[in-house]
Amino acid sequence: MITLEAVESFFPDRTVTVEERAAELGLNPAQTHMFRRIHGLDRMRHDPDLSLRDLVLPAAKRILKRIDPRSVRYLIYCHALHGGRSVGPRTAQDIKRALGLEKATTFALTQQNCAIALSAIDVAGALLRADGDPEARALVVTGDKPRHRAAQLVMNTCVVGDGSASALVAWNGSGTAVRSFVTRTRGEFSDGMMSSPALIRAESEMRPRLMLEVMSEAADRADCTLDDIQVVIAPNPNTTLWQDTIKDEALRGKFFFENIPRYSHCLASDVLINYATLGEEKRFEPDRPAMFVAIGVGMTFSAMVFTPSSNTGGPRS
Amino acid sequence: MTLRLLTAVSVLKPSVPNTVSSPPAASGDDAVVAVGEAPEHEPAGPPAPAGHTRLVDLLAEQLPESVMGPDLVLLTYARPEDSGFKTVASYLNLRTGGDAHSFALCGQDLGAPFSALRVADAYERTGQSSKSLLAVLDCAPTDAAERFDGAPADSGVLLAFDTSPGPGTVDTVVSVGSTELAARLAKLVPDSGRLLVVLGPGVDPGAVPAQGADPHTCSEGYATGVWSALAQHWTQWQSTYPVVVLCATEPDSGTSHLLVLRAAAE
Repeated sequence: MITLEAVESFFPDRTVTVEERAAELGLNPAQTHMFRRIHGLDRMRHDPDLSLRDLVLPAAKRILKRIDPRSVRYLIYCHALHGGRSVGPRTAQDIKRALGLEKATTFALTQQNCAIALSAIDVAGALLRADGDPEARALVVTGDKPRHRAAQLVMNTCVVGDGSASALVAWNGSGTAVRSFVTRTRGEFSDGMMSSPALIRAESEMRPRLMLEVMSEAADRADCTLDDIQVVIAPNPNTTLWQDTIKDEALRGKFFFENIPRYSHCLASDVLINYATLGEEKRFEPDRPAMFVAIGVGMTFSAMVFTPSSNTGGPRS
Repeated sequence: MTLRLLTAVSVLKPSVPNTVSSPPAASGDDAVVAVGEAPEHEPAGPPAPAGHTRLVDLLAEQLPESVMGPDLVLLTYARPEDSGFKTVASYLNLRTGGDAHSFALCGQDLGAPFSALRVADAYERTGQSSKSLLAVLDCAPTDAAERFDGAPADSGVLLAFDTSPGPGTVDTVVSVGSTELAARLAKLVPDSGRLLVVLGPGVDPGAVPAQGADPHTCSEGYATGVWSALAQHWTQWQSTYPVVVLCATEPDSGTSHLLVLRAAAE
């Protein structure tokens, strides 16, 4: 099965409070108050001088230091923002060259917005499995650097921070085992933030049911129940989205929300960032199932059950 | 591999340009405006490129009902649209059944459709997909309408695959360096019948074997060239050639991408 051999995250040094970032974005006091009191934000990393390349490379380089880079057969750069003004057509190839992975087949995956990292893990695993080389690896690199206000302040409910993460994927390795993956896309909401108010209302009404269906199916395919899940790792847009989406308080209590006030929303990187945090803090219970979930504007719902191994979350080398 | 090309449809230079999806640079890039607000732009000036959404509409309208309902939808392009407001991969998913795993694969110039096909093949071989769609889209640069120098036009191709028996099985999808291309093509010449090499942008015609092979040079479409040719000529090719190779070479790296299709029985 697919295994996660390593996951690393990266953040620039500059930390700002939500009030400082709100001022940079020109928000008024009421809006600023809402982000702290209602949406649960506190601080985040934000460096306006940081390039996309400098954001995404450090986490990937940390992983490559642990392994023989020649084992990396695939480099998959996944990003939430898919307009050409955010990510140029050569970005994935530039990352490949910067990492010295010239022989790796390299491409980008996108158009699931903040859910794309889970599909990237699944694609990486399928390619490795089909190739049949147990020594081959795939490096999934994530990171977005929105340059315009419209993408830095999402729907007036999320403030995007700077953070990235990378994951090393194997087939039948010794790391965290991926036991199931379920994804559903509802294309009627493909206009995303440009949807009509009626469509946005419809999406809000549909979201709790569909998210629960996807989570339940992922648990079922992994031969466990949602009660068995030790922790749910989700993106960090804010706390209110998850209060609205996960109605069951006991289930919502399994969600890891501590990075929302710490890092805010880092778009496609959130789930891997949160996994890295739990690993670094040694908070995974080995051999007990855990779950990634993701919701991507446009509109994709995904859930992936995994079982941390005793190797998961060891100290950084 | 048991993935098989079922059908392919194409569109070139759509006659009615779409001016909806391209806000000006000043209004920001991707994604996101407040709920209920419109992007800050008005259609103005020369016609804009068609946009991925319109290409998807034109392609989906041509698809036969029998290939609807895929479980995997892959959208590829060499050049992204300036605006990322609409998630077009999700829209293509909706237009063709709505129940597929869908995403876009890009960032690889002319190689993106070939890698997407590797993904589709891997999903088929691992039991995750038995019916897939691959869209190859190419929108002209935003200044194309003002140019008269043969600038690339909007074009798109939609290919449907399944696992049923018949001609069009995907034999190999492989990438090779420029020095390996001729040798790789030479090995594909069949014992009986001839090899057809469909040459996309940047491919050295001298790499086509001198014996036992015929070249087909694509004249239109940048990222879509070889795929458009496949859509237009597949019916004829599959009855004429036992082996058809689509070949495109990335201008920056010189890497050549090959799709080998087994057409008629050898």
